[in-house]
Amino acid sequence: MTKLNFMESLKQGLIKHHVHDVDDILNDYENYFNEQLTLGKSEDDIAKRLGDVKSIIKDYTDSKSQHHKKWFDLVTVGFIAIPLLIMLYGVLVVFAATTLVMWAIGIYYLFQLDTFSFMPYIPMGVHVLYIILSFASAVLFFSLSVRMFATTKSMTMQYLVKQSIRIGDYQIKPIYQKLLIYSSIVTTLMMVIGYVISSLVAKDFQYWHVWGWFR
Amino acid sequence: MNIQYKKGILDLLVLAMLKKQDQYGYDISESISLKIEISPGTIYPILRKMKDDGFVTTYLSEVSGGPARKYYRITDVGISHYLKLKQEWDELKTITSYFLEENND
Repeated sequence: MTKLNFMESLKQGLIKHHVHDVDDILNDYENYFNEQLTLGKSEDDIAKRLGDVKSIIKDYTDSKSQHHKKWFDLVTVGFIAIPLLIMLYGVLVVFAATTLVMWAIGIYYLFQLDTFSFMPYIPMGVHVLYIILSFASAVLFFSLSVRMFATTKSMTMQYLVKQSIRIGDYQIKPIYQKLLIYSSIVTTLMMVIGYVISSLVAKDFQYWHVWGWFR
Repeated sequence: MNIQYKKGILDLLVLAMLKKQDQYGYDISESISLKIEISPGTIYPILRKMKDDGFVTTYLSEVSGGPARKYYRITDVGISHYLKLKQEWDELKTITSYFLEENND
């Protein structure tokens, strides 16, 4: 094989496999030929010594730079990833909205506002429990939103960069982890205590009928 | 020598050479391929992968009466990779000689 043949088939193979910086690679082999030619070796011998062109090309395609594969995966993985991501962003919006609503309910009862007639009646005293419940669940949904955001963001980045998604591959600050645990404990406690106290005050296990919440 | 042995150890050989001093690409491929009978054509892809991984950098150096030569230089990342590979090699060597001596009759 002549130098020209070797270089040409190497070039075609590299281009076909979308290897980047083809010129740089060709330079290396061109350089090798020239160095060996000055030692008086024949082009054919040098080409033989360099080895099979196909296996050289394979070495380059194995290592890196498979550009064409990226677009293929972006589409195929996308069939699953995109609906999943849209759903997750939807859940995130719901969590964030719930945070705001719970916060607003807490404020509403805390300052004894009576602007909205549709807001359920809660007797004085008992309302403290419901204020705590609102704020606790606002914090709960806030930390859930943070967690959800971290997950979804990580999954989006994974999808865009690697075209594969691994759930759970994200990090959140330990403070949010603690907030999540404590707020869920407080929320659960307040729900139970709130139910018990309300039932006692209204003297009915279905106290919401006594207070006329759904009329 | 088994081709898998050769391929497994090439990174370590190249990095060891570069740790001592910067090397001309052609010299790397020649000196290694002469010693362990591997085609010089397979060393360039390895050099390139090491460059992509950030273990080495390249620069061109002018030579009087000839085209510029591409030189390879090891990076800090490359040095720590070298140390890691060397440690793995040392462990492998210890384990292998242990088993060989243990079962020697």
